[in-house]
Amino acid sequence: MDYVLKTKDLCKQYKDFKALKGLTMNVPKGAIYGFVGRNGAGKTTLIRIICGIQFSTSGSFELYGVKDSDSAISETRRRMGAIVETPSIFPYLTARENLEMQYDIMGMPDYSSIDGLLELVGLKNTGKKLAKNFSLGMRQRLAIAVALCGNPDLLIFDEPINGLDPQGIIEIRELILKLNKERNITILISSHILDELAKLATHYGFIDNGSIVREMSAEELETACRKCVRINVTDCTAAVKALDDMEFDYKISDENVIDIYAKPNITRLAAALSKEGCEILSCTEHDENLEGFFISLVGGDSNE
Amino acid sequence: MNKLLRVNLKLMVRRKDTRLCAGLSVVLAVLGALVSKLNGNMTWYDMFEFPLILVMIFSAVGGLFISRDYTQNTIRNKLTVGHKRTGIYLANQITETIFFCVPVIFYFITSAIANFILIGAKGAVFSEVMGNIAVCLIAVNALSALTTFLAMTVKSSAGGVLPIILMYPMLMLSVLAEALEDVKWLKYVCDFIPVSHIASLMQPDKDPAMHICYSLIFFALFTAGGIAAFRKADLK
Repeated sequence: MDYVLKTKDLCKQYKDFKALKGLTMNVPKGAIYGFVGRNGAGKTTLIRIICGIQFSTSGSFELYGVKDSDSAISETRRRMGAIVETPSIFPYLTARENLEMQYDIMGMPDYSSIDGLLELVGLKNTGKKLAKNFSLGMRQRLAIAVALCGNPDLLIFDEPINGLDPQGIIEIRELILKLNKERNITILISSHILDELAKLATHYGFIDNGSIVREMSAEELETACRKCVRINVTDCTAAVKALDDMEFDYKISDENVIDIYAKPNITRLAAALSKEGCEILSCTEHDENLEGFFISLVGGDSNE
Repeated sequence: MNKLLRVNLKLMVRRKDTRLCAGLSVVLAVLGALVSKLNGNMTWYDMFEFPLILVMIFSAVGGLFISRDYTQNTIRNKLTVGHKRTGIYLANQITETIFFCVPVIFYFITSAIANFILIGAKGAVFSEVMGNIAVCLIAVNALSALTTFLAMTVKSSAGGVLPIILMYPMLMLSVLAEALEDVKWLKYVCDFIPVSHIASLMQPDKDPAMHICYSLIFFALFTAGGIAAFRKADLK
């Protein structure tokens, strides 16, 4: 698999606080990579390091195969667009002027594609309205347009839907999906609004306390979150034989813990297992969403 | 760096406060010559009174211009698309140099024309006036380096207003150095401070070469220090 971004043992220390503790992650090409973690888990710190806004204390990352220690990393960053936390726009300029400035920053003298960008983000009819008079959703969309200047292959969005109203959230979500599908842009999106992320992401990276606790694809997550009957047994091998005989779809999720993806008749199941010399110690119905999965992964304690 | 310089200058031309500063320099030049004429003061050296006021205003406006890059987070756009930190700092420094020096040059040109019309050429020794202008311009440039340094290292709007706040103690030192002539260390300190150079230009500068040298050292120190600090700085 091709990876756009790879980090290896990335650490970041702020005086007494360690924000990143050996973070290793891989963002596949063409993916919408949902970067999930609590406030203070290290999401924004990682994004700042990738964008060159901050420096790592140790570890490394590769962007399109170029190492962060390589002098070519600055040039490689031109293939990337980012919104880090708040929209970075000039409030006393119009939407078009903002994009012209970004074109100038990037050394692109031809402004002809600006109209297309404004149309893409739905800001074509803002005319002479200054960015400072925009709603939060409009500012966010303008920031996306700024990030899209130069046709980047990778977009990094840090909490892009924070503070948006439901209509704004839908618009941003549709825009992100459109960019990914139509332009094949890889998108790294950090958020703690998990329900929204679940509607977008093709891959997930769960971060807690400065390190990635798990990376998985949306299919893997779906499997992990599938509704199942979870049984705790005394003898896993015997239970597997019985389940195979009964032709159930199942997964051994832990030592002596089996998830059965079906609605088994419990009496018949218990009898079949008993026949193989295996007892059921507990039996629970298991149904998780992304939120539940995240909590089960990182625990429910406060990170304060 | 050229791309960033172009953007900075474009933004500067669009802003009313920076345009006002340029206009103010011309207005003050005419006003200064008129006041000198009305007071019967037939010397050209009164024209060196206003650059200090101008530079104090410029330090606030120029400092805020740069610090806006942090408060509006637009500096991220420059870093994210791969601009090197040294390039960003130098583009800001050149912008500040232009912002500080060009209006002062306008001021001197306007002032010279107004003085020539109202006072005539008698009140000036050409070489001494030119020496004072050179000292003033280099000192103004040195103060632009201080403004850039503070705005780029404090990284908030506080960094924008800090230069003008620092001008007052520097001005006080130069007044003290005038009053307490016996205190040698104060004189040495003031020799190094560009504000003192500008403040002492109401008469022909006795040692313009030395003052120019000190201002250039001041400029080099703050620019090099600013670049070194900015290259290592963690931004938000």
